[in-house]
Amino acid sequence: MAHRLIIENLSLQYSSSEPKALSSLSVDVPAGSCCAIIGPTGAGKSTLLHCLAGTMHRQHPESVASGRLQLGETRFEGLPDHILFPVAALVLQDPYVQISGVRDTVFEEILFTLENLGAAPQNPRKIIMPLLQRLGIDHLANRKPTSLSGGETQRVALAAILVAQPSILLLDEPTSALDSNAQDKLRAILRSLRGTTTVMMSDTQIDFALAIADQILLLDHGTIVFAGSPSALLSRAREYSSIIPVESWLATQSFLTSLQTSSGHQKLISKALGLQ
Amino acid sequence: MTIEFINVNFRYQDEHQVLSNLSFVVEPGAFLLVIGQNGVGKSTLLKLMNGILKPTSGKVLVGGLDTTKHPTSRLAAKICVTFQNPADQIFAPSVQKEVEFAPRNLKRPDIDELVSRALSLCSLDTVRTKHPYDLPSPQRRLLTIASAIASGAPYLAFDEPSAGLSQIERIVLERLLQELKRDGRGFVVVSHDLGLFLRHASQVLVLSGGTNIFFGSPEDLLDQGGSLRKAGLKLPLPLRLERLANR
Repeated sequence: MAHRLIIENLSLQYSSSEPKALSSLSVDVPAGSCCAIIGPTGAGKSTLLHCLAGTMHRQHPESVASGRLQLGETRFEGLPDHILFPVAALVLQDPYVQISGVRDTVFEEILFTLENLGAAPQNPRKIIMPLLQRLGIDHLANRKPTSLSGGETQRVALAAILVAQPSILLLDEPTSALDSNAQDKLRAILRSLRGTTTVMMSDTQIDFALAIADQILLLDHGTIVFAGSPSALLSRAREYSSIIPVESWLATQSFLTSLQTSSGHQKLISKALGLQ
Repeated sequence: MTIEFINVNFRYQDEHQVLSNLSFVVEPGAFLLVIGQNGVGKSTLLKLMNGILKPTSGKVLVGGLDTTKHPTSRLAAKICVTFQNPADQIFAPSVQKEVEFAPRNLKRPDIDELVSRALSLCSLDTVRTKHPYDLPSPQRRLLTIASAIASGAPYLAFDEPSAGLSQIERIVLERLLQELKRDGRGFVVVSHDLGLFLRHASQVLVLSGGTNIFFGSPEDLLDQGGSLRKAGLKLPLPLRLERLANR
């Protein structure tokens, strides 16, 4: 079941002597919706996801947080002091770290998640193979997880989290190593989760974020400079060109679609959008 | 210096065949862009170039050196390869030490100059005393690139160098490529990021099913279009627009 996610006035310092990595963030992510976090390097995208996954205090015991989090009915003053898996589950930016290395095949690696949760089903193939198929990696089921390419590893790491059916799915740069085909598959999966899973993801490819998210957060230096719908952000793209340069906007289908009607280059743009 | 692949086959120990009968020649100072879907063997190809992996059959010649007969430490003087995952590469306790490693080991005479230039090209001069793991991940990727540049090798080979970079670092990457190209350095870049690299490439290698289905200029690749479709790849929007606008 999807959980609503509420962040109230969240601030974080990696240590009391350092400046704030997150500064008074407040966000409300409705249950079953998708929120994408965009922004330049060092804006706080990964930091926020680690706060929500409950991994911040574990990895940075000296970090100092204030504010509140609410995941479904559970409220935390400051940050949770334990990892929230599988209620909230984070797919890490570096998928290699996530592969356990103790299982011989991709299939067993995915099963390992269920075993750790004490939820291994009688016929795991029925659950795992369709999931691998949706991610386009069913042909890798018998391969060694540590022998895969970057894009393949990224999808195995994602499958190992998706199989746990978290209420809140946190994705840190999920498209960084994916080819265009694999990105299409991920997009379809995220669309299918709408209504049943709350998704929060960071992505430097704003095209992907704009196409999939109900809500966009634009972070800069740890603060939210914009929160709203993709179309509201696009209509204000020029305002944020110092944070997200024009080249990035031009690479987005949504931006070009919005230009289609206003620029007088309707024919050219529709051709570009249709062309493979 | 040329890089030659002559009928190269490569199979991993788990019997997974990755590359089949692959042949091509990269000329001195060229910029080769290697593209193809996830798992098609692009990273394997780079590891064959610096001898980390040896061909199951066939030959890889780097600057005339047969990679099966020379250690990676020798081949690194000819071609310096960065890994897709920076964590596989970074080991030193500071940015400066990490970048110094290659020129020191290769006994380059002008270490300080090589290191300073590499750090400055990658916009890392202000963080040279920092621990690499205190850097955000896009800067860590730039650090692996700086280390390769500082090696002074005539060919640099980067595995997904733009993955996870935001626009600011992408601009840094693009500028350094332009500058090093002017110096006559050659590049082999494995990437999904056609929007960034296609305009810099002099040659493109498209891998599909473990072999090259296209090897030629970016212009020819775009003109015929079929190889991209066959490899399951799409042109990014700005490139599509640019082509249409220029017609």
